[in-house]
Amino acid sequence: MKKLLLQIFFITLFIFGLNGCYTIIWSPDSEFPNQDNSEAVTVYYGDIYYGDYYYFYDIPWWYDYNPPVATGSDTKNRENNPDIGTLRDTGGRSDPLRVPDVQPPSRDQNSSGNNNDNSSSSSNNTSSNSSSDRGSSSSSSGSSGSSGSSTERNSNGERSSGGRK
Amino acid sequence: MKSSIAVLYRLTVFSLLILYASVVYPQNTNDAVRLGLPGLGSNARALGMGDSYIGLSDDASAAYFNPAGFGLLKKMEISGGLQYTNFGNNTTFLNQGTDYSNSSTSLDRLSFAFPFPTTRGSLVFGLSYHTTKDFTSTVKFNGFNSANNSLIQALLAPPNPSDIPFQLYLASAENQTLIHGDLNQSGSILNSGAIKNWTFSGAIEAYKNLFIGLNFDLITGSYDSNNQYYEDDTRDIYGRVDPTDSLHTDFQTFNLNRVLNWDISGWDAKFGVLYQFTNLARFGFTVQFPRSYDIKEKFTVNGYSQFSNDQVTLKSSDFSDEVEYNVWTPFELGAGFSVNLRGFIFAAQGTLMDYSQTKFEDVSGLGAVTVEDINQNIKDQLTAVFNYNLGVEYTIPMIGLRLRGGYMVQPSPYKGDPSDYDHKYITGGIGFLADEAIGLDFAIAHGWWKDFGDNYSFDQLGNYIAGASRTYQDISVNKFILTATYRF
Repeated sequence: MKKLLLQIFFITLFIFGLNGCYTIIWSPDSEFPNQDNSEAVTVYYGDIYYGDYYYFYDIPWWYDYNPPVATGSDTKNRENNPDIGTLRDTGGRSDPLRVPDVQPPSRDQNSSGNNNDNSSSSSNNTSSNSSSDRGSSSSSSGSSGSSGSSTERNSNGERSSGGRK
Repeated sequence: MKSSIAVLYRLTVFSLLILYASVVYPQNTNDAVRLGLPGLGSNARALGMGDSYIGLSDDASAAYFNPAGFGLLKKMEISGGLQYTNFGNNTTFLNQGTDYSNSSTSLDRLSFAFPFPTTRGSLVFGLSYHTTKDFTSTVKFNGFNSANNSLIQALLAPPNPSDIPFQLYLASAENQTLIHGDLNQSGSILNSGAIKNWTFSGAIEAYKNLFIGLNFDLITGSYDSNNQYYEDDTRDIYGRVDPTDSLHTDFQTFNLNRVLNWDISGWDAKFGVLYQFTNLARFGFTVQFPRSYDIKEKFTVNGYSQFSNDQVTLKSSDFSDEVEYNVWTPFELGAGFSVNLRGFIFAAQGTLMDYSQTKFEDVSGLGAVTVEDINQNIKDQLTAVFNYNLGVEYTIPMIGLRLRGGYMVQPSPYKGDPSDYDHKYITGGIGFLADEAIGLDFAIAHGWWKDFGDNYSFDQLGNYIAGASRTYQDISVNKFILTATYRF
């Protein structure tokens, strides 16, 4: 009996432990297999002679299956869209790491005076956000909204117009 | 001439065994044959094609025929069905014929198969609960035996005379009886039960179009046999029959009832390979590892003797027992192919198995000597056989209808039996497909063969008498299977 069990064990090991096995199983981190991205199966019941039995036997079920799209995995757009990132800040605590996002991108390099103004403006904006965080008044929120608006301008390169003040 | 000698040899050995077995132990070669004979499967499509399915096996019934066939499944499958079996036996006993039949209806199979999504190849797992063997059978006989022998006398034969005649006031304490044959003998044997498997299967495409698979079976089942035997003094020949007893007079009837109950469990495994040669043909190969059956046996003997002035009942506990033993069936090697040609599928297969390798193992109650005797008898009486199956299927594509036919032969496992004793089946079936997903299949199989059985084969002195009380049986079996398959 032990001999028989050993025989069965080694055959099982042989079957399911083969390295370099022909079969490639789909895994969740790869594209779900379909007719285009998987190797064609050998048809045994051609529809000429077997009619609908072709679909019964020879078409894998995953060819017609649309896997559900996973949510929460695509963060690329959010990171790359500063507009959305800034809007998301409103009404909550400011994130110090986001401060550089609202700094003007280009004019700083041309004029040190403008640079100071911009810094000041930036500081004001930050201050407004802090005020909003405390929830002191709705006008603070308005400041925050204004801040957001200026941030949008920043991103458009229009923040330089503020330097004329 | 050669076959006649062979049959005579078998009858001699077989009868010796029957006497020994019926008096002392119920275990014998018949049990080995019962467990070793192949069943008819549980798939209507396969049965319609004569069970020639090792080289086809592209549905969940691969759990029975060829586990590698699971690798051909590309859709999930839920399938199952019902079966009906009718066992008819036309028995000739002392030139008197008796027809009798026994039938059963049961859930035949319930299977589920799941193919993993793959970008290449195939990996499929399956779970199946299915009937692998049906024990439904029967014998009934009735005739007047004018010879000077009887079971009462045979029970007194040396070297191991039974106490049954003494207990029933049919013989003295010295095993003397006034019975000398001339009794009407009648009786019936009703057998029922089945072996069912829980099968766990897996198959993988190891190389392009080369599939390998493995089954692991958990076996459950039961077998019940009720043997009723009567000897009646229909011609009113006897008065008292125990020469030392004058109280019991006018002997009328002797009854012996032997009931055998098996509680069967066990396990086995099957390995299969299948190669698909483009869309033209498939070739299959299987190795059925020895099945291990654990038998918990309860053997109960009841009986009575009827006199005009009294009825004496046997003390059942003196002749009944409960034992446990293992039976190992032999390896089975199978090979088959199917050819796909313009809507026709032709299939053929052969299976080799050597019944003489069947082995008993004692667990409790039998004893080492008895087990050795049984195993020796198995070697002496049984032989290797080659079962073969043929089948054809034609699909009418326009209406999704499939027509099938088949033929199969399971040679008798007893040495020297003529071909009349081979189990032969002719089969047919139809299949229909609806909505590309639901398959309905129906199959019928008609089987026929000859057999015989001995109630006893010795006189009171222990001399062998060929055919002393023998039933000659013409057996016919009709089996119907309905299978429904849903693929999605």
